[in-house]
Amino acid sequence: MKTSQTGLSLVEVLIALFVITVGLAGIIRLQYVSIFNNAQTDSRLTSAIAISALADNMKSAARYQKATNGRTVADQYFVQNMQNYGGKNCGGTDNFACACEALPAGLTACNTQACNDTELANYHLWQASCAVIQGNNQAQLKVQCADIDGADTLLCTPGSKISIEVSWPTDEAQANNEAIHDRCSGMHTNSACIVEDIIL
Amino acid sequence: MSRLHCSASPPLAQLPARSEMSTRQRGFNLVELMVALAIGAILSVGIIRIVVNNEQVMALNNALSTVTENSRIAGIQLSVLLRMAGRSDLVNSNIDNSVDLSEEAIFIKTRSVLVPGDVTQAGIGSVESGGNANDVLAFALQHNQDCSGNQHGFAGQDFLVINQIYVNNDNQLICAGYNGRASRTAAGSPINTTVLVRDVENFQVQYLLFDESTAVATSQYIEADQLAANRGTGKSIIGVRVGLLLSNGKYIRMTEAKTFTLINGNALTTDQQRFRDYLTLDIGLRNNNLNTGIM
Repeated sequence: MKTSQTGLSLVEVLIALFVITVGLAGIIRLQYVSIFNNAQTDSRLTSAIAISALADNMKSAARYQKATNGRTVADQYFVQNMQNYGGKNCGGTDNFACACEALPAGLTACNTQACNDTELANYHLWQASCAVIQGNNQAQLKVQCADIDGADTLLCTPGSKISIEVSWPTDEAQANNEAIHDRCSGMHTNSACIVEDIIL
Repeated sequence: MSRLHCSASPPLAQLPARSEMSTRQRGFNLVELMVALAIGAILSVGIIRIVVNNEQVMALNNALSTVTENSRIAGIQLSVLLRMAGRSDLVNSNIDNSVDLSEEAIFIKTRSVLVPGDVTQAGIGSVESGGNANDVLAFALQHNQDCSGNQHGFAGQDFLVINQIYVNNDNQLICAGYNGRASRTAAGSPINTTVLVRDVENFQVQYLLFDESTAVATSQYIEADQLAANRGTGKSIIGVRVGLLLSNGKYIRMTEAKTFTLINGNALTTDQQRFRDYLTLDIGLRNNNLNTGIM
């Protein structure tokens, strides 16, 4: 019986092991990508809900302006540093625990006392930014108005387009794969965002 | 034989040592066996971990997408229903005119959000249940069907509809539809219910009151028990804020128990057996008194 039994050499086994490891790494990466995409969906949904809530709140808070014969909201909605957690600086660690579990100092609690339009605007912005970071700690809110009449005293003359944007940082690879909306104002290096335009 | 000739193998004369070795069956030595075992062990640990991980990831992804889906449904359903609150259109609609329509229009405008006692039938009206207990939200409108699709015998013509939204004992968000005209009489209306969303663990409602009866107009979020006291000239409910705690509905082990802050400011600590998300919906009521002049 002339059977020459030669098994695999150690080098061959190591190569096989390497190949299998690469395969397993691929499967682990797959899991990561699926969680990442699901979380991305969650961020988008949370942001979309927060944006439509703020849009509805702004429509509710819009008041009739006799001079321009139209409805607009208080200027306070467009004050940049009030747009995230009532202007509180949390250092970026856990923004929700820092600014959202209790009302930050300086804001009026419109659920326990009557608010004027400015106080209501601050309260709405605080609410919206807290709803936004519930899904993603680093998400940011931005409310802008393309004022059609810069000459008058109103920051947002009735009939102007108001853009509500929420953006959050995204994975670099992800950012390269999907086209970043050119309306994302780039609050982060690789940001994904959703924008809603409204006219009151 | 032909293979041997064709290949560039060494001449047969040089092979005796090798053929001798092949008859002597030689296994692995101890070191080789240990190495093989070690490699096998590492491999199987990796594979087992991946399988276990896969199961956990799948469960978490499932939970996440269930809650995401329910959030969407809840958001769409509630905003579509609530935006209609207070609708009254006597000009352009096909309306059943067997009752005093102008009286009914005033009822809808001034009672777009209902409180207990607004209609004769018991059990209809927005209720603030206090603490973390689930609230009830009831509103009136002119429409050709209630939220469950029941036309209450009006054959497609508009009538006074009352919709009431609440959470039942099975954690389902329910909308109950009433024929408001019958509810306002002693006879009462049949109740038809429909499930809006499942696995709702908490349901809180607040109302945005706009008050221009004072020198400086003010706004405030109030609870249902303050609604009745805040009716009158210059006051109007211009928005509704709804907080929903949604769960994935089946067991999944979470690493920590989460505490949610409800819209009424109360904290609600949950167990670790479900994936949960808190959803706040703000819905503007556009059919408010402000635009109609009826106070």
